[in-house]
Amino acid sequence: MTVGVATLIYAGVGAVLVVIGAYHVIVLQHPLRKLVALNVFGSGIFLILVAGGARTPGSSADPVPHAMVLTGLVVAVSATALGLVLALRLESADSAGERGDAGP
Amino acid sequence: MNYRRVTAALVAIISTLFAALLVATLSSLWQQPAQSLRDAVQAALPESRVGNPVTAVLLDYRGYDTLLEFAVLLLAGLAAAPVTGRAAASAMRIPSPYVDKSVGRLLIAPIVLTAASVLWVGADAPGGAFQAGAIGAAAAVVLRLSGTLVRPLPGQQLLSPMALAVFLIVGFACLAMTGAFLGYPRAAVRELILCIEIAAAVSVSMILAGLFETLYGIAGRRA
Repeated sequence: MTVGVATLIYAGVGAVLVVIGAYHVIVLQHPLRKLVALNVFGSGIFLILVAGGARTPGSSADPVPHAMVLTGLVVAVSATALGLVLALRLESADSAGERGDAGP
Repeated sequence: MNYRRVTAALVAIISTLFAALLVATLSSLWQQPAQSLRDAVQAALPESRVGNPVTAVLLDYRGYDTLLEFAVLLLAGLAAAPVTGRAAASAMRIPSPYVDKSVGRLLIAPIVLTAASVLWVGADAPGGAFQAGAIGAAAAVVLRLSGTLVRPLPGQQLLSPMALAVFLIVGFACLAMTGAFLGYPRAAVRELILCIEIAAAVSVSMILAGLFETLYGIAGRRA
């Protein structure tokens, strides 16, 4: 199996994760499930980036996508944490009857 | 007409189209010859005087992106901040029933040492500021969950913006010295990168630990 095909498989798996994550971010109702789907979406994008960086012939890979994924990981973690804070705040406001609409 | 089901069906159709577009784009991309910056980075590596190409890319060639990323991290930490501090500290279940107190206390020093070594080694080998920051956040979490630290995290307000502040100071100092923002003088580039990385690791640890404490405090208050 050539390097190109192997990295294409990784990129294909990443694309599958992206689509699954994107669909479920929109369709799922519970905020926690939306956050998990968003993380799956992010992991798919990181896979595509790293697979793209591994396409160079030879042993070492292109370091620029690796750097992008590193910063993306930390940003994704803090974005998830922020989303969790908002979700918890939303739930506590919901139980306290603060929300105005009759949403789910 | 069930609104939710119609929306789900529409999103499924759009997702399938999106999937097809992704597959087409990726396969056409993969058929083209690989263009990579690896050789360019390797050629410029002696100029930046660090051995790890990822570190050089993150802090030298793409340093501006990393600066903006520290700003984003600080924003996330600030958005969670109103719940940290004394209110959160009182609501957290400390010590956590899942972490043994004595084991936790023994773990903290090795974790901090690992973080420091990953940070230092990251100049020439795999490692660096972000990895060290994540490990340092783990040390803060163990510190909190084992019941070793009961009061709020010390120095959080001061240390969280430190990465951004140090990066900006270095950037403007380089502007004064070489006429380019973040254009490091090549004689001191390795030392400047290490300074920024140390500040970055501390700040990332503090921000991530603060986010954890916010969530643990909210959850603790509701439990």
